[in-house]
Amino acid sequence: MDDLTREFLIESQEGLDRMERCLTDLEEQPDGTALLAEIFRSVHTIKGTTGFLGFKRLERLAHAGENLLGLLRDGKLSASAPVITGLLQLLDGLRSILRTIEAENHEGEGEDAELICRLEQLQTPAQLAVMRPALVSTAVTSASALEMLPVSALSAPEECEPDAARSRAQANSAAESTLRVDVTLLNRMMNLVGELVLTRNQVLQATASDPALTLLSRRLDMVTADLRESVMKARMQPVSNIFSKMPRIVRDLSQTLHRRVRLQMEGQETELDKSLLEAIKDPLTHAVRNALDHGIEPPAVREAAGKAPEGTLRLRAAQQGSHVIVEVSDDGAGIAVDKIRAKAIECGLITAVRAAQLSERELLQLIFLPGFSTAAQITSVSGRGVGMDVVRTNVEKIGGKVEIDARVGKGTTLRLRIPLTLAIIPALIVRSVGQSFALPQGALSELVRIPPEQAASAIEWIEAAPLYRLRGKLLPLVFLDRLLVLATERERAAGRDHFIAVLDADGRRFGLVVDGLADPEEIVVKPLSAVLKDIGLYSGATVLGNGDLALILDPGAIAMRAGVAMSGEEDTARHTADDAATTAARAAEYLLVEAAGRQAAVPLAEVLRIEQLSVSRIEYIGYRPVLNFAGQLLPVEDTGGVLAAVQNNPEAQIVVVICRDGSRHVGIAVSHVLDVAAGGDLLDAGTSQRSSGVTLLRNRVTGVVDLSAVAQLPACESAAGEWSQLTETVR
Amino acid sequence: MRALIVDDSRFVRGYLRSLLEEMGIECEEAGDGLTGLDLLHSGSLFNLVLVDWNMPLMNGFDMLQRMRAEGFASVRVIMVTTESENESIQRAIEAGADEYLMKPFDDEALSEKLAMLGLVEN
Repeated sequence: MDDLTREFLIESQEGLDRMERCLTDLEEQPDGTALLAEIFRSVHTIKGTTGFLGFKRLERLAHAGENLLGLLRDGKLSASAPVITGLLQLLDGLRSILRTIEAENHEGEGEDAELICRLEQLQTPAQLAVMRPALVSTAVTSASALEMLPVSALSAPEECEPDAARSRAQANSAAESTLRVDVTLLNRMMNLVGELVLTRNQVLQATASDPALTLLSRRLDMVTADLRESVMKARMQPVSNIFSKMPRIVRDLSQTLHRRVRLQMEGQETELDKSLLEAIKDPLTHAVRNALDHGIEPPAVREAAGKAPEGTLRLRAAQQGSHVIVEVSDDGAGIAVDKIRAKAIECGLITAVRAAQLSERELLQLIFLPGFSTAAQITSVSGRGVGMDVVRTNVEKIGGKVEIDARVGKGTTLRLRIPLTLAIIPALIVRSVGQSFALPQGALSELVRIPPEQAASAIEWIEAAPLYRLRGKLLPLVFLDRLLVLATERERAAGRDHFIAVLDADGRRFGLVVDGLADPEEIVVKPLSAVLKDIGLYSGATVLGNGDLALILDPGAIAMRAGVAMSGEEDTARHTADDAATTAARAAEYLLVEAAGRQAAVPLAEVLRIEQLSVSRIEYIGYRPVLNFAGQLLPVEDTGGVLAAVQNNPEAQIVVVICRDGSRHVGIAVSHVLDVAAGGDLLDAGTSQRSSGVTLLRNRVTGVVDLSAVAQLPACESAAGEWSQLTETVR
Repeated sequence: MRALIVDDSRFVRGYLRSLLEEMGIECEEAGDGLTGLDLLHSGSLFNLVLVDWNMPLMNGFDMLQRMRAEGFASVRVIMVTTESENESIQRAIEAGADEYLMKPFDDEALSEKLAMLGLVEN
């Protein structure tokens, strides 16, 4: 379909929507001249433009309508109930032809003679009487026309009115607040916003040292962030768009496979970028098929196993930070790890020796390998060995992750982690031998600095494999400079810092060693040229705030290239051990900070970010210090007196630990971050009202900051008002 | 050479623009008579105005009368009409329209009218 025809269809549909609204209003004010003029114009425009495209059927119908509407507009005819009914039929008639054109590119074969006839009859008020059956015989021509009328139009035109009016009213409320936008336009807007984000990053860096421009650039920063969010929102569609297809698939499949399945769906209103939604449609459908074919057992088998004959398939979607989690879980047979092992060896995917070394968790991941299938029988539904690898490839292509969790006899859960958007991602900029690289934050779990003097002792070597002992667990290391052959051995200066970026990718956990860290940035992902793509270690390229180009590292590919094995240790523990115990152990990890000479601890699980910033970024509402972080005002806790100590030096740098406290975020001002440490049980000492307790960390009794005790901002709205007023005044 | 297209249909504006630009004529668009008049007054110079009859806010006939009264005497005006507005053509010519063009029209019909006004060579 060419652009002109598309424009014609959109414009005509808009016109008809307007006409529909006006018709509803016309019923209440039958002599509304403005309404009649508007309705006339809608039909007139269709009639005037349809000729250009040669849609004769549409033109004839619109012409008949226009004639009737002309009389109404000029006051020669009044908008009686039969007339309005006729106009509604005209509306439906025009719409149905437009729909046919949209779908099939031609108007279709339908006949509109009866409708046209009726519209012509309505032009003469006297002939309206013909409508009444008693008078049918008065005119021969009218009578023949009458035979062609649809029965409903004759018998009781008023009867269908109230219903029709109500549904129209409902349609109107939605139509008034929505607008059709071409997806290509949205894509273009997203690209432009991407460019704007790049420019903003550069402006922010260029103006960082100029206090006169700081406020201005910060405003640009906020507006850009808001704009980006709005454009992203415009591209969002609810997950229900694909969930709604599932009941049918499940119903058909359960019949084919003789299963009894109850489908539960949750979180259908969760929204996801349109292109991402498209991308997960096939993987999700496949997962559902798999769950029915391999997961849920036939009713007899279930009953024998002491389960209800009817299996449950749950589809769940929920937003988690910058990701959407989509889960497909069933209460079926689960996956027998032994079978996977045997099958993998049989398919030659893995050697028997290697298989024996793999943990349960690692074995489960094998089902994502190409050419793997455990189904005893190859069915038409699944079990051809294409499937899970395709699911994984598709999901990873859009920057997502797939996890599988299965317990024999209990069921299987497939979890897709999908980023909210593709185009702009938060990344940490790392440096290696003078070059900048962007590391997606999604894969990053923590950062460790090793000072030069400790480098030799902290990094252990087993054979040729470097390892780091991270809180008692061995972490395989990958040196970025060696991997990319950026420097020869000699160039590797001894006296420099090492930073380990601890990454989780594709079920592998490893540390990427780099020489330096720069700021985290929101980067705009640009596709790579074919040459760079072939290297296979990069997922894209970007322009940094300082104008430099940087390649975006692909943690999964790096792990694979460097031969990092699937780590399962921790995860296996999580699956087999009691979940609650693991959670407790996790909560007992703390970020050790120093505030004005005293050591304190912040629960690591709640730490979102650690920001080093100049003290001038801290603003005050009344006497309460606040930080505008990513467009959000956070209360800043300063029990340590860090802010007070540097009050007279606006250039001073402080560190703010940004933490999550339930649904809000709070900042804690500290002088330094010392380390991450695992603590013992919380001892309820109640020494200070700001401490939720004390714990023994590195052999020192350390107070734990109680995040919930950080005072609320006075009132969020008034604070924001005050703040914007403040900026207005300064501007 | 610049033309002002005044029509409430985006389709017609787009269609006219594509035909005119094909002939090397620059175009501006307005969706109603009032906006059209504003554009004329904005200081841009137009050689030609193509104006639809039935439009919201101000119709083509009123716009034609206003522009002739407000000093755009030398700008050529083509009324773009439909068959059902046949009797109105005479009124438009009397009010100062130079030509009329009946919808639907093709590139030939348009260039013929432009040639008659001496705006393009036939």
